[in-house]
Amino acid sequence: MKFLFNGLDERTGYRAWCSGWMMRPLAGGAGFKYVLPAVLLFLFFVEVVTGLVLWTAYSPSTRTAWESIFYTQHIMTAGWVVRGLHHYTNQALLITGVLFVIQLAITGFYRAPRELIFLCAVALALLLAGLSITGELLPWDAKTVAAAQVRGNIVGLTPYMGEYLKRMLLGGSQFNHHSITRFFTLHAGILPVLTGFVFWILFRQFRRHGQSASTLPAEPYWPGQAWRDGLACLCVMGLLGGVVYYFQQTHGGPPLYAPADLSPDPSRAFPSPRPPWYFLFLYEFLNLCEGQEMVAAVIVPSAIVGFLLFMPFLARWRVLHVFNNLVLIGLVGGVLWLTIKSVKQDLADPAVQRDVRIAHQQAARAKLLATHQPIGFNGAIELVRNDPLTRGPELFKQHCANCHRYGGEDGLFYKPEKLAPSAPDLKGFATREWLRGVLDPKQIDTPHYFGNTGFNGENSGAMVGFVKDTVSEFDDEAKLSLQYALMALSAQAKLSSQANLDSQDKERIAQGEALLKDPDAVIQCATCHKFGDMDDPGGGPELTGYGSREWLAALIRNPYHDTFYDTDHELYNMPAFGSQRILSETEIYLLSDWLRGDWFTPPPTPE
Amino acid sequence: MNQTPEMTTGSVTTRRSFGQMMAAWCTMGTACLTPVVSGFMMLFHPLRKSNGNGEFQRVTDKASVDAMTPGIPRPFNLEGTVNNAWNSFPNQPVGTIYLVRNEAGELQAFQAQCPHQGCLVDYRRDESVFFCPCHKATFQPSGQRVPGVGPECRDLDKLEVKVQGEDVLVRYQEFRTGALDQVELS
Repeated sequence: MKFLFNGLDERTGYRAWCSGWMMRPLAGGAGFKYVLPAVLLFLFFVEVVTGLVLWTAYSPSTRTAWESIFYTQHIMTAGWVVRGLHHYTNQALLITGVLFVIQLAITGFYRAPRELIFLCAVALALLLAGLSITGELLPWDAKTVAAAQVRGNIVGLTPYMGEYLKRMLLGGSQFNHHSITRFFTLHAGILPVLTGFVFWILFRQFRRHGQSASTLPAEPYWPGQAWRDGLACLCVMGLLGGVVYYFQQTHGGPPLYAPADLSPDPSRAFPSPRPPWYFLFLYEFLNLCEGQEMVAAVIVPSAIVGFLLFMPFLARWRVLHVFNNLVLIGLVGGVLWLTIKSVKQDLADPAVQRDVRIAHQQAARAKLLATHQPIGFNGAIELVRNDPLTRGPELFKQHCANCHRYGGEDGLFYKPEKLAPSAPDLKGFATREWLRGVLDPKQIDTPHYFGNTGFNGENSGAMVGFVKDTVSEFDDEAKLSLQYALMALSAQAKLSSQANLDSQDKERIAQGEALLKDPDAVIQCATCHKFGDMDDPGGGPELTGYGSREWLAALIRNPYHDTFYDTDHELYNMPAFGSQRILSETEIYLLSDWLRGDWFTPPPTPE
Repeated sequence: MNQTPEMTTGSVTTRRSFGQMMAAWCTMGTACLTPVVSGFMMLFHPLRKSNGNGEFQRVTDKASVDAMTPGIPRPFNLEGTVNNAWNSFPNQPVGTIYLVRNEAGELQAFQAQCPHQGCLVDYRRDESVFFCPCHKATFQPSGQRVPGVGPECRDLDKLEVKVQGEDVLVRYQEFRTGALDQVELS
């Protein structure tokens, strides 16, 4: 064995190289204050290793990126550890990089002849920021794509060549498969190689100029500084391990929102996209410079970077060294202030908080669907687009909530307070409880039901009049009949939430059905409403299959069809969503299913 | 410096060594340029003009537009074929527009993308404004920007709309964001 190594050393001289490196003299001796370059290099090593492994499981295209990351995170062995480490180490790298730049400047180490070390540190910080931005997009989830769309548009603002730059970056005029492949090339190819190169220059420079400007006696790197570097790296690793574990337990790992939908449909747009916390200051700065995007996004940051690059040359003069550090402290303070301001503003803004809630809810739903349903060639977005629980509230908000409410809200947690509803609240539509309200003389004429509609008491609506004048006078026997009829009517909807009740009350429901058909019954339903095989008496909507999937879809499609409100349009604001082609058939069924509480629920896991 | 006496020193350039230098530059240069130039040509592919958007397409019927309450915009999703690099997906949502009939009865169509950064504006019925969630740009139902709220940008982009027989047709276009004047994306 020894013979082999001797031979290798004879041919390469590696022993001299290694001992030269390890035994290099450190002016002023070893110390914990010199660990930052080693920690930086170590964190970069973590990123390279985890990044390469993630690469083996990643598929860059708009219909596979989210899916492959989801698979990595939730299905693959130790996938959550690798992705977690990759995600949080990136943030640790950014913080360490900035600290390193500050340390070099504050200690005055950046003075001649060590300017290049400082320039390398600044270059590293910028490259690391670039790695974060390009990496952030790779999961292709709703939030990062929405934020990147805004960023792409800012690039498009560059004078003269903005549009070309944007196209080059996105691989087209809009986001597409090539946006991912391009970002991936930058993230996993070009930027890491450049970063490695800068690290190489940095460490060559340290070798040449030493790690401190101290004139105290020198000490070799090995082992005095080596164990300190080792301890520092181990501590950082332990901390990162803790962070990964903590976020896995509390948040299910690093953020992965619902798969991005490129369709430009406002109801599908990710609301209030924000950059990750470490770039919030830029976002807030952009907001501060209202309308001056070029100044905020390009000119000021370039000027700051330019100044940073000049700092070591200015520091030849003591006054300017002090000035440098004052500016640096000002910049750090400004970044912190902007970040805190942005977070505070968002926390205090109910609209943003609502959007955050929606985003988390949709992310959880997308992951649940992806866990339990097969993902086909078209990707997980197909599951989301066909999911009533995701799409129903979005469609309701966009198309229904101007008149209707859902539990007082617009379907997505917003309570429109300035505008009274002009149509019934549809939460629990066709349930026994909802119908009890319709038949309650005290409730039917309130805004929750028909109070603000064209057939309220004021407009002498027949149903409202009947309930207020006749039902209120019912004796106990009539009330019982009404209750049976109500059960029968609600059973027509075949709601999954009432399946148990419906099978319990089979006999009462049968009696109720007979009452619904009987024109001479005391409850009088059949005088206006058609039910089953009887002739249509004309007046109110047909009650056969009331609240069922098809009945509801038909009502949304065209409420003025003969079976529903074959009355004068003026009283009713509701558009015929199907016949006027406002909603597609798929969308109509998504709404109908959502209102009826019909959506995929995972089978209960056996204990 | 006599260790390498056989080497030509820098200051003396014979005709022969000049020829060799030129040959070295040209051969290496040409050899290296081949992958670099072809590589850049491929990278610049996205700069090729794609087919501009903007054929008139049917949005809805005249009757449903006539039934709309004046001054209250209503969103319509347009469907079409979405090309995504090597994929082509038919019958996908391609964009959203708002149709609104103003008090004079005139029909107007607006692009739903905010002219500031391209986020999608939402019509808030209870405040009677279009509102952009990204930077709080706010527009009147007439498309005019509410000055002083949110970032400076142009008014909502108007789209050409016409009624042909029983159909309402719109020419769907997208515009460059951020610019103060309307420039169509090609």
